[in-house]
Amino acid sequence: MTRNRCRLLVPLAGLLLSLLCGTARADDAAEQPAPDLGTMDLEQLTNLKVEKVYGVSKFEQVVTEAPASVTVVTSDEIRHYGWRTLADVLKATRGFFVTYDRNYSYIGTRGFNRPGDYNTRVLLLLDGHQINDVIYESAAIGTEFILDLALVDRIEIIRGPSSSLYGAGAFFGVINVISKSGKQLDGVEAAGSFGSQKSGSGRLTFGKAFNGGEFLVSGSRYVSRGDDRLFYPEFNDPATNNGMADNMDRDRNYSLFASGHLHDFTLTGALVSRDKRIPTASFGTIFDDPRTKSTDRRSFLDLKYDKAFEGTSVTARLFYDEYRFIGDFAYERGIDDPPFYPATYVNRDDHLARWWGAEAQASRQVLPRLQLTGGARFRDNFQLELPNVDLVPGGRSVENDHSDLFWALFGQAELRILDELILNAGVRYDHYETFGGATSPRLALIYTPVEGTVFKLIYGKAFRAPNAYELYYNDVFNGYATSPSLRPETVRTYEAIWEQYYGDVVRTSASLFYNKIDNLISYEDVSATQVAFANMERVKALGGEFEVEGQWNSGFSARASYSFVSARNDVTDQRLDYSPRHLAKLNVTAPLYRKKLFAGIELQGVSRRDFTHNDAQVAAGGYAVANATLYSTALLPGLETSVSVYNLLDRRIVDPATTDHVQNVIPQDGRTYRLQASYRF
Amino acid sequence: MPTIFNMTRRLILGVLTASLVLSGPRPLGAEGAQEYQVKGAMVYNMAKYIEWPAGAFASNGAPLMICSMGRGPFAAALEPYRGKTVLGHPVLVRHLQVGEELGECHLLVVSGVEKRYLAGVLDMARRRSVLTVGDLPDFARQGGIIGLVEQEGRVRFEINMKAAHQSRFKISSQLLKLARIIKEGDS
Repeated sequence: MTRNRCRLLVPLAGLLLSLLCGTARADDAAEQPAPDLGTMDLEQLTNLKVEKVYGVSKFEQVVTEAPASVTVVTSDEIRHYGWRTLADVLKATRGFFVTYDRNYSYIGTRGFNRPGDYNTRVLLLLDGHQINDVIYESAAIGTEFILDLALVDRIEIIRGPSSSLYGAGAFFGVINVISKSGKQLDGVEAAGSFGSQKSGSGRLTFGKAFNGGEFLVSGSRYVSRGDDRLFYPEFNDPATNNGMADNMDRDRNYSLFASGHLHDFTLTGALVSRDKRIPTASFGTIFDDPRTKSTDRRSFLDLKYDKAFEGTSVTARLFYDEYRFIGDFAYERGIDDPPFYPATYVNRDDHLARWWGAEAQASRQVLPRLQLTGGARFRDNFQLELPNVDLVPGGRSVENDHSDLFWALFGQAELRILDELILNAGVRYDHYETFGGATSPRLALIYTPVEGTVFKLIYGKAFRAPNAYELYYNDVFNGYATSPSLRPETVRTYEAIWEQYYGDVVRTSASLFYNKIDNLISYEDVSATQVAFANMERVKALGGEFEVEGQWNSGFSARASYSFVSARNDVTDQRLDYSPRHLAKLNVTAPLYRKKLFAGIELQGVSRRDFTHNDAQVAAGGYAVANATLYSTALLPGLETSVSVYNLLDRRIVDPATTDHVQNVIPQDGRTYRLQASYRF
Repeated sequence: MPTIFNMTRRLILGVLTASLVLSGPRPLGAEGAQEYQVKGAMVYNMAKYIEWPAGAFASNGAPLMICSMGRGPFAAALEPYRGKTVLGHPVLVRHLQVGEELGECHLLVVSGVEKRYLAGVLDMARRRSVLTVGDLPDFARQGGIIGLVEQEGRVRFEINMKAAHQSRFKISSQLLKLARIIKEGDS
């Protein structure tokens, strides 16, 4: 099996290399002497068509002096690799992997991945606005993400604990998605796609700049039938349709996004609604019953003020957010259920959260070598409802209403001790009604001995507050013992980073980290029928990451990374569940014709993930997967087209399942394709 | 699993080798002039259309100090103009770190500087009547005097008149007619 895999991939490597050599030759032939710019006048210079240097715009972002290891993903990469969701982006990012249970996608980073915890330990931001909701704290990275990926200008992925600036949730890192502006679009854009699994999407976007401002409005719709003949051998019985989940993988969403800015004010509104059938019969639901599904609806309004005056830059924000989750679970009437119940019925989580808040931040260079940043944040979670009801007249129901307040203060000092040496020190205090306060410090030394060489030494402590779901959730079966006295989880990180730039073309990055996590919140069986969340686990993880990345003027770019993590559960002294030791990635974009036709090829390798499933030790096997995209702007001016093939070699890939599933592992999609086109008027 | 990782290692090695072949010093691309060479030429050229406040130069033949700040290729793109003259002033070129004093700078090129430093840098330049030119997004809107922006594959000017007046610069109409005039707070 493994041998076979290897044989198939070697020709692919050959293809990559020949692409590489091909582009190099094409460029050499085309070289011509540059015009003598020094003798031109200004008017001539402004009329000169210039060639953008690819590397620079990306490398010169916050990357070098940030007290963290940062990856910036651009909209070009999203197009060239045919990425459909944030999950696709993270799969290609150094040190990240993603687990999918055919309902939600779960982020794995630094050896840590808990399918079923809704990504509570990564902070997800859209234009600086927090997307994690206040019930589950979920960072939605699948089709339930709030922004169509076509509207993304860039994504900054900041590794390591960043609680000192961003507060709770920035436990393993921050993903900041930055949207395109109306000025960038300047017109109408219509886009559509179709692909395997009867998937289709459409989008209409309008953007405009005017004197003193700009705005952008966009609407998207996505429909997919999914894999409509999923087979689960665990249910291979005539009573459960022989294990076939017929038309149970349906995934549909719509999203709206509007953003405008006038002078110093930016107003943004966004909405997404997704509903997904759950084909895996998780949580003991009836197999192959289309009533079992989840609906996520997330929306917000955000007013931002951004101004620099007299050497001080100020940002302030006022926001209003909503999150609604409807989880429908179809059950057969059991012996504990009321006798008047029908033979089958639906149990529903109908959760609603509404919150508003404000924050302000100012940054000032107080001395030539000292930059200070300080700020405050306030949030009022005025409505937190987590009821669970049986959709049966006169049926059982559990009301569960809460509200709480939260505030935080933070400060950061950046002292340039020497021209080559920066000390970055930050601290933040967060206050929660539920458990009290938490202090998060971060210290970093950033040393640049010569231009192009950067060393960073970082110590950081971060925390994650127990969320409303962990504190309060219970259902009509009384399956959860609520745990109002949960304490926050903490992580301490020690990290050393070496970044090396070779001209503006090639960059390498190497890092070593050690994470120590305490008071990790996990499920615990308190009786045969009840579980409770408790602070019970300790984890230690030691790992390293290496990446090399290059971007050439020809339009050719490549990135390869390898990460290693050894993560141990300190309580059981076993390897941490769901944690792959090795991750390897390769992404290559080759311009095939005049920067108008690109081939994007990616390879991802994830090693075996061991875990305990219903008291048995099992594993999801390691895999390597290849995806390929052809992207073209050559057909017509304004027309962009692409064709992508995912899981090119049709490998069988499985992800681990939580104990909420009968299955040990959840099979992933085989080979699928997508065609996409967008036209700008 | 070892086989897969052997395969991956082989691929990575392959790409690394290819990268090394490609990463040698490469001449300019052919389709157009390189972005930063054009920007460097623009900075040199535009100095001819600026009148510095009285007393900025000790004498008619005193040197014009062009300083650059931040990462990236802008600093290198100014080097060819070292020793050339602008209206009788020989050009000097210097690179500064963020936070360093502006000293004798007449013109400061800001590029590849983190946004949060910008307010401080511009404030310092304003107090010393240093002409600021930058290619950060919205540079002129943020209080810089001349912003270089990309428009349809060409480099264009944005000029913040209020910032120019505050630092007592006079900008010739020949330069103004090529530029887009920006008020602070505009997009």
